[in-house]
Amino acid sequence: MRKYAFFLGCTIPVRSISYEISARKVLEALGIELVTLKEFSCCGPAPLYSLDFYGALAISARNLSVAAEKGLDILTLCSGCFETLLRAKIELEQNVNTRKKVEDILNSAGRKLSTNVNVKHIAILLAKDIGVGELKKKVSADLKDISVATFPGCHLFRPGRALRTSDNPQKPKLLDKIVEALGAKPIEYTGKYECCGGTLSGIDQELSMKMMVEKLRSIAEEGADCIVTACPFCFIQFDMGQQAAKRDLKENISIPVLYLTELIGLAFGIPPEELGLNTHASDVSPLLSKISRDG
Amino acid sequence: MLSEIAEKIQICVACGTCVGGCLVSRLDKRFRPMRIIHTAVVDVNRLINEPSVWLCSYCYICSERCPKAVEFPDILTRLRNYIAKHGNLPAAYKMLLANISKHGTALELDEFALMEREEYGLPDPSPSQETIKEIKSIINTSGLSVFIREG
Ligand code: SF4
Ligand code: SF4
Repeated sequence: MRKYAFFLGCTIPVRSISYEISARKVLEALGIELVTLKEFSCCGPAPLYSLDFYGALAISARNLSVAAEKGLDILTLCSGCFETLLRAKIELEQNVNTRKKVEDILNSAGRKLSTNVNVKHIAILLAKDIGVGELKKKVSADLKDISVATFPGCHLFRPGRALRTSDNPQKPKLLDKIVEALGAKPIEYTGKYECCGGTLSGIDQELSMKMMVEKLRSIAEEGADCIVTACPFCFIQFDMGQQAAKRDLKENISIPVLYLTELIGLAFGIPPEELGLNTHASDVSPLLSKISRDG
Repeated sequence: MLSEIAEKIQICVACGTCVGGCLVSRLDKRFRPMRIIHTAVVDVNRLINEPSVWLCSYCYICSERCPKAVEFPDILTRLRNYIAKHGNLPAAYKMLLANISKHGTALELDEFALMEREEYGLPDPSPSQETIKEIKSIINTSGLSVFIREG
């Protein structure tokens, strides 16, 4: 049985627990064991790097060291945590001067630096390590009438050079491949490979909303039954953002937003309430009524 | 710090590819990645009072397309370090750091959140006191310390 240090990050456990709930269910069904560690902290997100590069890198490095000490690889749900931690590892392994500086900061906090750990995102674990073939075997519900607007987001794939992305970083197909394996139909739409705008909420709310609503409109035009993401920032942007767009912009679009692991859970025949689907802001019932579970 | 990026910003050939593919640039005239690089080449101090440096969404499209591999977002991160130390930084970033210093994470798992988690049988993942102590120590011994004001 494969075992991972489960890196939840800041946002999911507080603001978006259905990602965690559904991920735990799906991974359990696939025989993956997860270890929750109170030694983990915030990953050291991009805004911290903007304040002080080395301080932020030390916070990321500390998380890597925690997992390395336990001999466990890290599994993330959030694409932001994934990018941060994987890039921290690569940066620390490639740049001796950087490593020395970060080592000094960590030592004074009583922590030994180790980067001897792999960092995986759940979408990559599912599609590449476990493999879409294995996912297919577990499918019991019929999703053939569901057209899915996957939203790949940025940090699972970019920057491609630094993350050594095997997909095309500007047009990644990873989520579509999983959706296809589940028997549903992935669709193309304008803006699919762009940014959701989530990083700008709290900086410029209007701009952040504009970035999301553009995509929401083109997704609605293509008649998608749902939006599927693998990142809490993209999810919150589309899920809660739809409600804000209704209120502030009179934009009357309603499309269920799902986490990748929720769609997989539904395909595996796990009841929606057990996946935490009732915690969403957007109404998921139109989607659920199109899935036949005895398929 | 800026010496680490000086070489990289010099190789920009002003082709404008980064602006062309940038969603933020399309939606907001104030923001142009190429212009930020150029200003930095001439005199980085001119960026100290430039609010648009905080509008990049870090989508890394420009970085994928740049013919010279300038990697604008990573350059901008280092420029922001300099700019922030001169007092220009978003309130949200300061608050984020304050939360991380206090709780070890950006969002505290309060009673309500813990109750909801319990309903679904999820464990309490909040960082231990020992973890928070280490995080505080990292903040205090690094350049992050100047952005923390207690009380
Ligand atoms: S794409 Fe690269 S080389 Fe061209 S203007 Fe932008 S940073 Fe300069
Ligand atoms: S990373 Fe920033 S500058 Fe580059 S394309 Fe995205 S928003 Fe524009």
